Amino acid sequence: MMPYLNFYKNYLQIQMTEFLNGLWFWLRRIPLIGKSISPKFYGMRDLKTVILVVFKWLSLPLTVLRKSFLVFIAWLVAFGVKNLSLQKESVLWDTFRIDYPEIFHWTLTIFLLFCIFEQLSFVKASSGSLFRGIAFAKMFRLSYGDTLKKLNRINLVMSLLAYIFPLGILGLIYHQSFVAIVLPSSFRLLTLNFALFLVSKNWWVDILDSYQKKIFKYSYNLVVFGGGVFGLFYLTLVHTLEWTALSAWIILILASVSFLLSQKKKLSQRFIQSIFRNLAYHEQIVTEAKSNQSNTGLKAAQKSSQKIEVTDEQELFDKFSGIQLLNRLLFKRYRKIFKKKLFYRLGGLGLAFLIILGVYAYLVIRFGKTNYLTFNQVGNILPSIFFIMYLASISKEVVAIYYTKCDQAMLNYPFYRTEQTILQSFIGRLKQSFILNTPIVVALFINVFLGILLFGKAIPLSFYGLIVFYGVAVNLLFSFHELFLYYILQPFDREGGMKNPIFTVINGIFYYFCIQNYQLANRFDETTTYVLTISIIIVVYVSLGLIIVKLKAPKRFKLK
Amino acid sequence: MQLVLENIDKAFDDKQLFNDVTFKFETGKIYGLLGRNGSGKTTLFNCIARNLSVDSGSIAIIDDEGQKMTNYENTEIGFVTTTTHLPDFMTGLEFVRFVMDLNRERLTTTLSASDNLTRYGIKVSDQNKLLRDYSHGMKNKVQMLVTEVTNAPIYLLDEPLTSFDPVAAYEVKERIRELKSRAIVIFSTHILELAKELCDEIVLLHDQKLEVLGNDKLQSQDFEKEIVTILSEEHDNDALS
Repeated sequence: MMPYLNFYKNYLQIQMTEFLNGLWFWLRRIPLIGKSISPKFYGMRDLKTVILVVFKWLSLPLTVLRKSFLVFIAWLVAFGVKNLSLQKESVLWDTFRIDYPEIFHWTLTIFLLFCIFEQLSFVKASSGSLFRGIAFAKMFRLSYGDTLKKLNRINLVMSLLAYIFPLGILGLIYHQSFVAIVLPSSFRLLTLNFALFLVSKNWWVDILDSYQKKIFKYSYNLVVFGGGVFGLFYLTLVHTLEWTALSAWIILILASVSFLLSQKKKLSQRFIQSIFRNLAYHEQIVTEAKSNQSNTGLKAAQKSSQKIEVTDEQELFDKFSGIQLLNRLLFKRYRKIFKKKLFYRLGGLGLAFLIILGVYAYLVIRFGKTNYLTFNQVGNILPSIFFIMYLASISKEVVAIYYTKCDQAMLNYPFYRTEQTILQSFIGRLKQSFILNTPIVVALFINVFLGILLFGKAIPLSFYGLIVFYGVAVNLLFSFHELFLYYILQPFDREGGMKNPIFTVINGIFYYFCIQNYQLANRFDETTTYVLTISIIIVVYVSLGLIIVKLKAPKRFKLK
Repeated sequence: MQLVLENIDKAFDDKQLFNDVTFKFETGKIYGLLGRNGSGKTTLFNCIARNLSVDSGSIAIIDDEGQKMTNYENTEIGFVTTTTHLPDFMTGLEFVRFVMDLNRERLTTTLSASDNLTRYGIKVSDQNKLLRDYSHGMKNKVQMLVTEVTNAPIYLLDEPLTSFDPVAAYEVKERIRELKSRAIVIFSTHILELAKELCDEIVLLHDQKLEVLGNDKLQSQDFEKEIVTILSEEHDNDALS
């Protein structure tokens, strides 16, 4: 008993110490007042112990309340099912009663099922409490098996103590106090002992390993969860389940015997290694979930480490050197990511192509008329290309790959930050970005031409040349813009997170411009004027941008 | 006491790290584990420390009575990793004190937590600072200290001296020498001079096997050259295959 108490006391103190130190650390970082907060608090062990005791006592009612809520939910389900099953034709709320004995029995059944499900995550070597326990044991040089066993038993006792109050109330209402308290408590102990027995056996890990295979996983879930839910309904609705004092005694005896038998059981090494394996998998998922919060390009880049392609690069080595070689190698090795992105985007545009053809065929068959689009209406379609390109352009991914797979490391070296290298690298990357975006722009404009050819027969062929010019300008803009901001603002921090708020603001403005392009187009009477104006603006923006890159990028393109 | 590796195999995907490795480590000796980067030194330590399983074969401890334990506890192993694993929001003193409280029955020291920290060169004024604010070397000292005081019969030290200042390095070397009278000490390092100075036996991990370097070579003038030649052979074989 004493080793358990000593362990639990230390465990609580460690948790509270880390919490209080963390809180103090945070307070000390608050601007203005932080400086006046003394770090001496970190050394005040006695004060922290006092706070722990006070905190524990204050949190006691909250714990009891949380457990009471769970019992209440179980009771509410039982209460609802019982009363609704008695309603014949329509629901009569004034006939609802709480004193049906079945409500008590069903509440306990639901609670017992909950106990089984709770132990499932333990025996599957994959619960948060197991992961925390293992980390705790590792950090404080404790036995993994012993620590997990102690923590589980302590948690069980603490939880049972907290359940006494709500279960006691339930027992008082239905005049079955002994059954209400003893039966669930004994059952929880029994399931834990049974779980400890399972995890002490090596064959259990073989079963767990087979569980990792999907087919077993599904059948297992079907049998355990499906069977559990079905069993509950079957027992409650078809057979009226009764939990008596005798069943409480039987379970109490079983729990006591199994407790004695499980005293010397040790968690098997293979089970502990399963926890380590699941923990590594869990950490990977958490890391991926964190990366999902960052921008899409960065997400793709971070995932891309598994997708690097080994390619035949001798030709590149023969033809290029220096920064050009580096950029081309980078492109070649990560082309699989770009290919995949392009594939989906071109697939979407291919679908649009088929839809246009389908609509055309339908209109011809139904009405026989095809000359729908006028010159100005075509002009109204063109601004939408801006927004489509904003969504479809591959530049975000390209920039993120540059950063995470190359610049994040290379920017540490002075030779990589020289003016000449930066400018060469910028131009090379702009070309590559332009080439990558070209299939998207081409596919987009094939759709536009198809639409004009099919529906706008009166439109002169000379206009097509202007649209091609517009297409090149749009491609240039979307290939240039993201890269330009990257070189001038370098928005990523060392961990790959987004750091620069100006980058976000400028991107927001650019997004707004892409949407509002319709409004701009409406201000022009002639479509030709709009197309020419926009194309010239783009060329001017890119030219000015290139000058800014030449002047500013060597100073600003660095690690944050 | 002996630590016995019998016919162990371990691979990660296509990379075979150990192939039918059999070896015996004994109390009273300091073993220097040498190998090229990626040869599997840390993986071997993790397998011995029970953090990783081996694909086949067994790792066992044979106690002084000759009793063989394949199912030994992780606490039998004092493992000092290259990267520190310490609670950020705890002071050095608090952490050492908690480790000592939780491992009361296994302690090798009668000194207080504060005295132990001082013994490892951590000043009293630094003991009440958060571990997150400790330098890498100070964190390593704390890690080394808590591993040492929790009395394991086997110590695995993964490049333990790389971040210590000269004084601390000297003191830790003394600690390691003290340990060998009661424990098996295996430490990995890339610093050949250190290995020569500290180790009773050099074990090379190469060609997916463990191999002892003869004692005559350990004492010889050409020790460094010898090691480089052997490990380069392995590298060249890899490159050819």
